[in-house]
Amino acid sequence: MSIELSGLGKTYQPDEWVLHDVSARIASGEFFAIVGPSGCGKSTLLRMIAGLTPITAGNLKINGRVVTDLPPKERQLTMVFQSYALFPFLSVQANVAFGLKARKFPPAEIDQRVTRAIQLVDLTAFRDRKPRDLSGGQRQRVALARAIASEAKLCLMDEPLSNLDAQLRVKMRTELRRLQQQLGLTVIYVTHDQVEAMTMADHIMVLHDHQVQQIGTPLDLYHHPANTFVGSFFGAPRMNLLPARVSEATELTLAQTLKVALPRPLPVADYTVGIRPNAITVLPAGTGAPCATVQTVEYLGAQTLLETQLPDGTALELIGVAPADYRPGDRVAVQLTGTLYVFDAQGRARMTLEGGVVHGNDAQTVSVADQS
Amino acid sequence: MEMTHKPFPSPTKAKSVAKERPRGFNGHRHDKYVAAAFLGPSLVVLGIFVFYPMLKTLYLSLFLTNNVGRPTVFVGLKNYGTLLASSAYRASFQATLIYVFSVVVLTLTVGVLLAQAAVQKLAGIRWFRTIFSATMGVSVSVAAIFWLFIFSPSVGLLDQLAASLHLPVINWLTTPGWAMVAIIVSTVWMNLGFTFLILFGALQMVPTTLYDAAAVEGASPRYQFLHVTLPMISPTLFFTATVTLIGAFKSFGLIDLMTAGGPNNATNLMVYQVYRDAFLTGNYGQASAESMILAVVIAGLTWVQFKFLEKRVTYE
Repeated sequence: MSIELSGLGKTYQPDEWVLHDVSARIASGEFFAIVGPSGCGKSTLLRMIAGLTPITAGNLKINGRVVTDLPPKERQLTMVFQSYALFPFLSVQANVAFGLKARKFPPAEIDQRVTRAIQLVDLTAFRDRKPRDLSGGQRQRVALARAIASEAKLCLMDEPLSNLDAQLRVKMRTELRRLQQQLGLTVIYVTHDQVEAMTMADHIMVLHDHQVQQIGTPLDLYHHPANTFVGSFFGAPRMNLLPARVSEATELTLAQTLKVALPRPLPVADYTVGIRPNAITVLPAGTGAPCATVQTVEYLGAQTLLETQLPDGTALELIGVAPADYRPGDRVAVQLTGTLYVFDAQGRARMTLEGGVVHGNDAQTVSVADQS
Repeated sequence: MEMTHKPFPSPTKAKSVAKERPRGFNGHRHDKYVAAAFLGPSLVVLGIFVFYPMLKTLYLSLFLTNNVGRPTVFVGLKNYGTLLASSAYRASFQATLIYVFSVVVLTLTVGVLLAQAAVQKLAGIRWFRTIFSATMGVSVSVAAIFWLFIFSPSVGLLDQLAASLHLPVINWLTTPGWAMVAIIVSTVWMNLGFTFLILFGALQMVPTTLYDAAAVEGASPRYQFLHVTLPMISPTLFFTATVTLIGAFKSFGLIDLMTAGGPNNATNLMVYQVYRDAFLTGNYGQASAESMILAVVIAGLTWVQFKFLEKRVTYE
């Protein structure tokens, strides 16, 4: 079940693209996540793949067959909805059997498939219950069983876990992944939760502003974000984005304070530099390194997050050193020790500076990846 | 001491109030006053206009009466006996059943179809929604005149249409079978506004993801209608069926204005017979007995409906 999206677009009003030029190849058996903030068009894209929303532009191929204008039932796929879309008047097993009955399968086969699907999601004891008598997690599993029973090899999932509580959501992530691999399903999974996408997906498509921002493996997106949006979308705590300026060919100044020497010249211009909090080392004030003032302190147990301000007023999020007791108003020195991402004024990645960059004029870089 | 009364105490608060309230005579007596104050007005109104007339009807049905409705001779169940033995009354009973059954089935069927059409996202559909629900604002007398124009012999709209198409011209309101058809059609038309509105509301409440799921699972539009839409609106359908059934048994206005029970008593429904016996011939005892029979029939059929149809209703 390979899927190919080429130049998919959607408009409701002429020239107002809800989605524009979306292209991707999804290999058979892959867990493919579509992530983005709400309103970015990710659910619309999924509905276009399902055939529930007509495609305005471009082509959709499933297993090499063009299905752009086919109705949902001829696309050989199944779908799990955020609201689960269970029929309230049907029992668990009747819900699971719904599609098979609609497709007029012989009763014996329906029974066999339904029994197996219900077993797979561990709901055998509940097969005669109505959805209203089930918990949220159980309803979610009924929706999964319905998808499994159809035996379609392509399963579309629209934020299937977002109505569950946090603990169950974490558990279901593993569960879903296990089922997907066990059944050899190709899954296209829509979520707004970057952690879900990172932990479950083989490949991730990032949608924002009605367009594809980047497609890649979770590690790709984390380590080589194509732009500021992707950079700050993945990873928690979020990447700091600092205003920066190249004033001489190889001198980069962040937030008018931190100076970094570039290994290769960049045009004199304004830039944005992304630094993840874990790429910054916090030192006691007075070590000679530039200082930031602590604004708020968030204790997360293993970590302490510091919301700080650089002298020019730029906000900078840091991870405190474990035993230290920080208070608002404290001054801490910062040293850039991890990866720096240099983005141009439009937010596109221009250069990555990896590993211990020493601040100040004598800065050195360990390795450089050029992305321009 | 009395607690201050809050209009909407939360459940937990209500419990603690009940606990703290003195269990003595005073507390209970206060409750009774409050209950009486709330129930009193409606009990008085219901008593005067519903319960008293009902009992009086039952009482009168056991008597012969004079021409102003005063009971004269006690005859026991003789009024009922006369009615059941009368072939005219049995014919009226039969006509009523045909009428009621047709009206209920047609009202629901057409109502569902109109509502289903009105939930489609089409240009100008709002106009149709308004038009479909418009008969709610039409009075019976206006409707009767409207339908008289349509059904009236030779100059009526239907007959002119038939003539222009070289079809046989029918004397709608003066041919027994066709007169029944005419009043059924008019009644269904009158019912549609309300039925449409209620069913339209029910259809709009069905979550669209259910149709999405059904479509992805391979259900055709017809299958979706039968296996998603109908079960989802079944509580509303059941409600509408019950209301329409009771309403149909009580139809009076259209019949009085269009056929007056004729021709040849073909549209002389049970209610109309009550009216004739009581207010045209002054036979109040007999009319009362007919009323009682009608009430029992309506109650019985409604019971049957609840007993057998409600099983097929799925409440969420």
